[in-house]
Amino acid sequence: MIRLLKQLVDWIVRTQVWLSVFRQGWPNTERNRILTILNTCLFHLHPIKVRPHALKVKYTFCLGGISMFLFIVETITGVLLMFYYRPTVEYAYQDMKDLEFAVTFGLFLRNMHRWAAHGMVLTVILHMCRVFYTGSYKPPREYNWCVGVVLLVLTLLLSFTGYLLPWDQLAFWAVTVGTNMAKATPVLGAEGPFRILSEMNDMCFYLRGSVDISENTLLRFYVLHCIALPLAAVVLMSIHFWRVRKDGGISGPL
Amino acid sequence: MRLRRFIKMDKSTLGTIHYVWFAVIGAALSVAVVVLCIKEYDRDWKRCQVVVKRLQTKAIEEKIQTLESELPFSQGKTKAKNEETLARMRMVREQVLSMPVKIQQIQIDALGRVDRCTTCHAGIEDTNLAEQENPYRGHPGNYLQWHDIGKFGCTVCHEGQGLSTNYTQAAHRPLRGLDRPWQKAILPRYLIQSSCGKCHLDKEVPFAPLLSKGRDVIEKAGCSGCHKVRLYENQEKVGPSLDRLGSKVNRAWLLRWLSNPREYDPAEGLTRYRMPKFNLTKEQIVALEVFLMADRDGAVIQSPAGEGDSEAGALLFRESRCVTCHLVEGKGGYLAPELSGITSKVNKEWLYRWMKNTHYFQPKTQMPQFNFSGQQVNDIVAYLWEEFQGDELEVPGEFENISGFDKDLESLVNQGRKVFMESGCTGCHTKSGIEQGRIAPDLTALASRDEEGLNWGEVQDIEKYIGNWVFMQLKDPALLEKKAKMPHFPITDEEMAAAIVALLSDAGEDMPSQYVASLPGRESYPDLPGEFGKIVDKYRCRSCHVVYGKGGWVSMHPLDREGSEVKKEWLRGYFGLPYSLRPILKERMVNLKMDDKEAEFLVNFFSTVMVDNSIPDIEDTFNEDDIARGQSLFDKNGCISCHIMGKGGGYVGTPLTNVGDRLTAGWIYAFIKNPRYYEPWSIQPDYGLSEEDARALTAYLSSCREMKKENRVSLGGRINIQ
Repeated sequence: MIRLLKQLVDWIVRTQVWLSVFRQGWPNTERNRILTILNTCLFHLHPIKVRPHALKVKYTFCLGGISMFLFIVETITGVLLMFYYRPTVEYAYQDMKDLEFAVTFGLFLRNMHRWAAHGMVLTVILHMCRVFYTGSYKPPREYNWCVGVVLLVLTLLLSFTGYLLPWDQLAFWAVTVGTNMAKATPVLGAEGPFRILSEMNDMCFYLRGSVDISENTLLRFYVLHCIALPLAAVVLMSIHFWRVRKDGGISGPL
Repeated sequence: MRLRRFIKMDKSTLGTIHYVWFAVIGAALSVAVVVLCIKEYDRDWKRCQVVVKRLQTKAIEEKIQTLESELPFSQGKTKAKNEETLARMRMVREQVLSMPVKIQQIQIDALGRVDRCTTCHAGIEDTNLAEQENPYRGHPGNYLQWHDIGKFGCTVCHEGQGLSTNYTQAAHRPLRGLDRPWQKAILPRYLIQSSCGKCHLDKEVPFAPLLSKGRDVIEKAGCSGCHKVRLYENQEKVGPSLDRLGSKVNRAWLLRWLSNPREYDPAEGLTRYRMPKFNLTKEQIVALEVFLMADRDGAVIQSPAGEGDSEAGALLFRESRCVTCHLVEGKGGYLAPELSGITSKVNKEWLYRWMKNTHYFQPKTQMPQFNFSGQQVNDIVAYLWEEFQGDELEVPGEFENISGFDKDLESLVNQGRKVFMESGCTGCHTKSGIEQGRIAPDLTALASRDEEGLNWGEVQDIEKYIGNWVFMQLKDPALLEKKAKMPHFPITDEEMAAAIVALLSDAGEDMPSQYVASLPGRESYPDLPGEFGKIVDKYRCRSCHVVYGKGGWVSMHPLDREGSEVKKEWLRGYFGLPYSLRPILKERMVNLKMDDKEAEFLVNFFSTVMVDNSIPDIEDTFNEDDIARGQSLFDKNGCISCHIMGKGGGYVGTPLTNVGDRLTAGWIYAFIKNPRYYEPWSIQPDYGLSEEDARALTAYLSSCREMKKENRVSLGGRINIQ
């Protein structure tokens, strides 16, 4: 019986499908382990070696990892929500209520998406604090710190653009207030200092796609929330993780 | 062996404590998933549907049992009918029992609404459940019979969040302030009638007394003079023209009137005088007074020639039925001003000119132009001056020493003109040379107004919703804004509440045309053309009668089919000497002193043009048998309890003695056959008479006449009274 099984396994690992996916043998030698990491896309973002201090929870609190995990949760729940949501004035609020009251586990889906978003903002900020307190922003990691700051901004923008999508009173007025701030931008805002632009072509107008919050704004925010910002975040995250490895893994204790 | 080594390795790095954490978090997550599934399955509305189903089956089973117990005792037709009912009820019971428990929703594309209210209120259409408590209750009243729930849904009337299936989320309780995620909560009971006004655009809305009253208040108060109000965009100004006012009233009266109209008319509520009290300073009042008094008419100043005889005037006053419209010491009609104390308000010379040339002073007044001779006017004025003498008014002391009063006339007039325009006098009054649009905020789409931006001023401890804000505007606008321009109207709290309901019926929604309920042809009634139009305008028939769809309801008798209803000879006589058809009414046809040519024109016009083809043309000759049968029908149906016939009878209906002289046979027939069709407001019972009976009754009534055939011919001319 065991022999049969062994023969089967031998046959499987010799098939072309197996060999084209796993290009080296079992990772039981130093060389094969290194090759495994180098040849796998996801693994190669990860450091080849992890030092014991990096495994200590109290050093990193796994904040970056949790952020990444929450981003995955957001992606999965977000894609599922997109099946039910139409970004139009007519349907947005209605679809939201459908999700709440008519779709099985719809409310759970929405809540998960919402709380994971809140959690992500929190963990990303805490992650930044951790990096700051452990001095991990210092050379050679200064570049990755900057990428991280952009990622923080992206996280906040994802949160902000997602806020309008329920299209209820809370969303409407929160985004009204939020986008009104753009009017006060110096030079580029219609009400800011040194203003040169009118209400019809200032920053706020481009943000909203109209003078007031309208269907244009909803569509704009939807596209940003579901496509533009997540894509940018994925690209930057890849750079961020890869850079961690290139800069010699997680910084050592001081 | 491998496992032990793994644990050992782990112990050296992480410690067993992490296993405990792992186990706890894992267990907690599992529990969370289970709880999630239970919560997902267990919804409030499922319980509601189960309870409703139980109540419904119980009610049906009770009925089935009563029927079953009665069945053995019934026979023949009744038995067959009962069996049929029983079978139907059993079918209904099966239907109720087989109804799956699921989310119910009504989708109305035309209104863009999806209502899931019936998911919990599952028995809303079941009249058996009318006594139950919410949410199991059936809808009270017959509203769902009039408005099919599949066509209207729920939220179009009740508002709220129709897509939600739980109590809070459906906005059963209005949340206010920043936490409110929705704009529209379910309307409280006292505002629900405002929803009727979305589709019912007529002034009178059946079963919505508050809304109807509110619309009446809006119309009477003339809100649309200053505000844009839906349905009243084209309303005419409610106040009189102020041209030539200086020749009409005296200065002391005007000052008192401007500073406090309630002193002259203490009544609260929009009864007769609707002039609001304005928030003006003494200086502004004086300037306004100077501005208005400066407009005089030279012709009025001259005294009329000759002396009046007050006794002849008294006779004319009664004969012309002035009290049909005018008040005398609080009693009389409701169209025109109080006459007692008239001497303290107006000039004698003006009164004379007014009677002679009414429409020159007020082109839009409701008062007809009476055809009085100069002497007759003198008599009436003499009578009014003697009978309705009021106290001599003095200028109140506080106006004597106003600063700036010593200014030259021109600057005062200019100042007054400014006050006139800024205070919004133009909203109600016309004055030649002064034109301006509506000066106050737009009140259309009031119900969908954003409540966050309202200015509440000093008002506290009040629910901050738009209805209350409007209420405060009417009650005491100064509390909301120190320098409020909104004047204070003589309006009771009930009238305010009704007006708010009517104003809130405008949510800015355009209802689809198939939902709009309104009488046909409400759009506009152009002025009547030609000679007929001139006469109707001169005698202001439309102040009391409806003529071609437009006019007042002082008389409950529209003139549109007058030619088919009454006989020419009678009408001729009636114009000469109108009398009251119903002695219990205080409003009576006014004696207009029409001249013969006009009367003849009207009689001919009525009989040729103002006819209704649905009223048959019946020859006025009947045989004796029909008349006798008609008389017995008249007695049998107890007509005499409302109508006077001969010497006795009731006072509710019109007297029918000599009715054959007045009404055409065709009209009598048509009316008793179908009274509600011709006069929906009539209380005449519909006896469901057969054609034969109706004809017989017509024959009898047509035969009730005083004038014999031969003198009817001789009375064709006018009756002259001396």
